[in-house]
Amino acid sequence: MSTPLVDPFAPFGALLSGFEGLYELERIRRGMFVHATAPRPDVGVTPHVIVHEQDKLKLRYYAPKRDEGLPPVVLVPSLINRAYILDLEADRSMVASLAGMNHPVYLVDWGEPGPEDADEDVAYVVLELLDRAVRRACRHARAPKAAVFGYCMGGTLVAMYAALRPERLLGFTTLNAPVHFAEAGRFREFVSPDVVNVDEVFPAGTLVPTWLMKPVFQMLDPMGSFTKYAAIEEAAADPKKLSRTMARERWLEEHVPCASAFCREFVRHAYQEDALIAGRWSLNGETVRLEDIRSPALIVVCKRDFIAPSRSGLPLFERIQSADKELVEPDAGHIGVVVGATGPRYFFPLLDRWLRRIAKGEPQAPKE
Amino acid sequence: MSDTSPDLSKLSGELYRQWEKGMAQWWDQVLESPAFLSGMGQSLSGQAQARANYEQAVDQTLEQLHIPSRKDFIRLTRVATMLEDKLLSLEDKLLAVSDQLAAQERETLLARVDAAEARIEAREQLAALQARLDALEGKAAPAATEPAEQKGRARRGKEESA
Repeated sequence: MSTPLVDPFAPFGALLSGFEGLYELERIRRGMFVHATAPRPDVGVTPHVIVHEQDKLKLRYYAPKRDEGLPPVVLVPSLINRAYILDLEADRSMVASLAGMNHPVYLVDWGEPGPEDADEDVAYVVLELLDRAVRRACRHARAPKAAVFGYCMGGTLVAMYAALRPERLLGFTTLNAPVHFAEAGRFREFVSPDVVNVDEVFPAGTLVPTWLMKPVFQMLDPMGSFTKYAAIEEAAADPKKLSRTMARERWLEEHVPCASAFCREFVRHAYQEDALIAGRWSLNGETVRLEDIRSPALIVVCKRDFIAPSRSGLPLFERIQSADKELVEPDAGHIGVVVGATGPRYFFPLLDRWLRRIAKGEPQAPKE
Repeated sequence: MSDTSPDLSKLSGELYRQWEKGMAQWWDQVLESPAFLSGMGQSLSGQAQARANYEQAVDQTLEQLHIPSRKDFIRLTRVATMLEDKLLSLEDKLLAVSDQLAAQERETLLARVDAAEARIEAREQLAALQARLDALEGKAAPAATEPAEQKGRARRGKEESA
């Protein structure tokens, strides 16, 4: 990655260095300049092949480093973000780490919907796209079942899938996946029935544009969106650190538009009615009951997550009836656990151990 | 100046931190206030409505000009998506049939291997029986020739004595 442009106002900033407070503001200004001019690094660079395509979905396969005969792992990211969040940087990539630990990895890349996909609802996504992607992954790996991992909204969809189509499921993991939306923090207030009329905001036959989503996410932490520029300014001194920061910024900038039918259903049933936890959400006439889930499960909720607060994810662990279920609560934020140092140091090895255990059918270690 | 500037620096730092804290609190108040939230909801609805109206107006204009509109392209791509879904469903069925055939083929192959093994075993048993029979016949043949030789010897003895 090349270095950012030279800041023409830098000499004036030096004049302010004697005043701590003004210097902070100057750092933020410099951070804004770096943010605007620094080139974005390449992301999603781990070698892979596409083994299945349907509509805009692509199933990306990352071959294991060594064939140990482990079952396939299907990774499901959120629908409104780019799939490369799970393959952001070569040395911290989740897909590369798991493939390096000899797991055959399949990444569900939902792609970018076009206006023709505006009527695709949650049922189509879970029962048609996700179900077929899991079946194709099993077929490609010549395995009867797969372990499925869902991140954020992807985790919510995986929980629904586990409740309705457990046939191909060896086990499932959710990371920062809300299911109890009454506890979903500030975002729930933004889309409460008093604020948002879903039929008006998400009219039929349209896509929800990214320029509409981005400010809503920024408003979850308005001061964080401002002070982050000081961190960018600090990172600018170190090319590697700057590259990491810019990769993350690239992901934050590149939202994906969402089908209005999906958004309408998701916001209404999840955020406004909290229908998932209440067992009142039906997909194509099939009611999703979290109590029906019997597959082995690893539920991960991060303590410092303000996008999907841990309180909104914890009830999944309490509701499911799996005999083999684990709950992990790392002291991390919403994305740090998959793109930060916590991933390779803590989370990926944890996932590896869990995947190997359920692959061997070993019982869960007794709680201390 | 040299004595006062560090204090000024610290003071400005403290001011900045206070400002940041105050701003965070202010944002919290604003974002939780019903007036802001209702304004935001109305704004979102208004934007969505304006966008829908604009798209409709563009479509109508294009239709009047006999130019394929966005709606026409959407209709076409939806047909393509439906066809793709149908093809994938058919492919699923074909793959299931192919899996069943492969499983049957495997079973047939295993049955043939079993049958071949059984035939080899039967042949081996037959060969063993044959060998035993040959051995028995081999024993029986000297037993049958022995009395004849004895008779011959007796006859020759009688002739010699006579």
